[in-house]
Amino acid sequence: MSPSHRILARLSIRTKVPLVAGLLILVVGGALSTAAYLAMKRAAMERGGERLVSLAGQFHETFRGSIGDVKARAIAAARKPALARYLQSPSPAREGAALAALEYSGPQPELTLATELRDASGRVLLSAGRQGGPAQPRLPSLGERDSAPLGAALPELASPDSAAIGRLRQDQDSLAYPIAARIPSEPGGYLVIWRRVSNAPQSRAQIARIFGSEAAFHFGNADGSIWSDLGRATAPPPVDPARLEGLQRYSRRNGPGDVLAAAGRIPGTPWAFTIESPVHAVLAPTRGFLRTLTLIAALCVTIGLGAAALLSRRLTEPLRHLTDAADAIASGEVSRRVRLARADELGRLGASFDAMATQVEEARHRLEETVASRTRELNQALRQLQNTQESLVRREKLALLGQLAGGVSHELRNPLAVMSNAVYYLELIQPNPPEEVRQYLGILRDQIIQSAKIVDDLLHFSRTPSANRQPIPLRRILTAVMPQLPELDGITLEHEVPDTLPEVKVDAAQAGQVILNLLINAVQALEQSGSGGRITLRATLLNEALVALEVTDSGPGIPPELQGRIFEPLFTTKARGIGMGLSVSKTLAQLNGGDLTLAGGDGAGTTFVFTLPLAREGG
Amino acid sequence: MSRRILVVDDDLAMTQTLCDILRLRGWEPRSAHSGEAAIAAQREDPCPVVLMDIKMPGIDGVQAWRTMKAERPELRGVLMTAHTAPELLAEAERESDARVVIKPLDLAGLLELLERGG
Repeated sequence: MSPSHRILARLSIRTKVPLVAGLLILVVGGALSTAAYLAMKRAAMERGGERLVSLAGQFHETFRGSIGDVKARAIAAARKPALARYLQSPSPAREGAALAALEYSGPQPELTLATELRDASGRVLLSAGRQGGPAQPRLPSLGERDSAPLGAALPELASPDSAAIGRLRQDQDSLAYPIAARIPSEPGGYLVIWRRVSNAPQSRAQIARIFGSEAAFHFGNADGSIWSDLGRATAPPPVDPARLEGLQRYSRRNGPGDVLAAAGRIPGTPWAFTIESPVHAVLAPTRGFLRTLTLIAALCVTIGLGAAALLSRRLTEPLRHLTDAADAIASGEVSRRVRLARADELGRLGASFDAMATQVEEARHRLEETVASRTRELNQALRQLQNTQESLVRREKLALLGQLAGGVSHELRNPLAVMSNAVYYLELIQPNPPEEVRQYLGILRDQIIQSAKIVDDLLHFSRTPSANRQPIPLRRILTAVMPQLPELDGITLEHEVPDTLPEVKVDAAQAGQVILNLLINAVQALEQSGSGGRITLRATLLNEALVALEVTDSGPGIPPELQGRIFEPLFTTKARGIGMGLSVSKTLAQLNGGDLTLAGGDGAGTTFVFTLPLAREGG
Repeated sequence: MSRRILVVDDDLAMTQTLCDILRLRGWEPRSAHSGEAAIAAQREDPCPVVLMDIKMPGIDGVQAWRTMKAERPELRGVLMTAHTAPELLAEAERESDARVVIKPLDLAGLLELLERGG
């Protein structure tokens, strides 16, 4: 993978799409703009050229007219008879008339430097300057310098009915040129008029008006010797003089630089002219076009980038939502959905994703439910196991205790019996003992009976009999128990046992023993607190299998730290008692298919719940 | 009718106190301290009434009683036990076909029972 590929791969789609779109727009727009600009440039050059050529044509026509006019004047002036007469006999008498004839009469007389009368060989015979003008002193030098070449050219230049115009010459800070016309006489001669090229500001303004401010008019000798832009001398165009015709393109180093020029020869003269326009001026409208084009391109790129960014966002935003949702689901938030409100491919992807997420969520819920259900079952099984274990431990303890109690009971009963016999004997031999003796014998007898009862209880409670379970109404068991209760001194006993309660299936004697035990405990608890109280017996249908009998007393309750131990064998909080009652009761309750639990008992009395199985369940 | 009575128990204190009480109430008690001794005493000089403990080393009270009863069917008697389990009592009464009382003894009741002939 090349570095650029790697960079592209690392970029997000959201960045990539606008980037690629922008690049595309730039490339396409750039290519189109370049093509348009080049076409525009070519068209501008063509149009500029055409305009220059058209101007040159107009100029050419104008020149043709004015040159013709100048020549006609020269021809007319050469026909004046005074000139011919002076040529025939140059005498001082005729000089005045000849000089008067030489006076230039035409438009722009200030441009005429001098008018000369020359003989056939070209020698200057007479010369008339402009009246009062400064031209007069310059003429000799001009005439001397040019007499030879002009003289050599004169016969060819001037036919009887025509005139000729010579090359331009430098005359101090302006240009001058000669117009020669043949004087029709014998001997022959020539009239030569020297005129200056106008460099007045209005002439340049006129030219500028015609060609535009950027365009320049140059003219000079076609051989390239002297050129001017009507204001000052300029370099001739850097073109072979023979090819100085039509549209040209060249560079003026010290001037406007690259120029487009229309060149032409001025008819009837040895002159040529160029109308030059700098290429940058020709291309000026193109630059405007280029600016507009650049502006449009920039606008296109901006709009394109914006649109691409928007589109990219529209495309990637749902993808981001999808990614976020997938991450959320992966991290456990299974209720997460995308809910893309669109009907395109992304919308369908979102819908499929949501459907999948729903399935995942449902599967997870099912799994959780299954786990929860299994956990409940396990917990239940664990509780049962713990109960069974507790029960087993308790029974084992009881069995051990029973064995011990059996032996101890037997071994204690014999000495107790001997003691009992001894007391009886003493009472027999002393029917009327002193009061003290009688009292102490009584104490001995009571303690022997008490001891025998303790041993008896220990033995009795530690045996685990089998249950002979029969269907029986709970009320009947209660009725059998009540007479066995000790005297309830200041204690209220309340029954809440409905007649509608179904029969239970228990060993009536064992169930009665449990209830009696609970009631005796309650009575003892109330006696301990010493201020009477209330005991409530309340039976309810717990579920389809069990009846719950609640035995509640309003006594002091059982301290929390002792509540876990009350069902242990040999545990007691009473001043008297061996701590077998609740342990044996729980064993009996479980033996009969129910249980005995502590429901409450801290400060607000104590409630034991004795559950008994229903007869109709067949358990 | 003879008021002779054989008191059998491996506990000497028990036989002594019982014999003393019975003597005070007009009985002529003799004592033995095992089942074997009791059977031998009956064969040598039989008493019409026997008061015997069940749990003794060697031959227990029930077996000794059945032996004596087999030899002298007119024999009357009461057995004593320190066991209190009702099923054990019932079993002893069924096997011995005699009344069984529990230690410590209800002496008034026992004397009355003996007066009536066991």
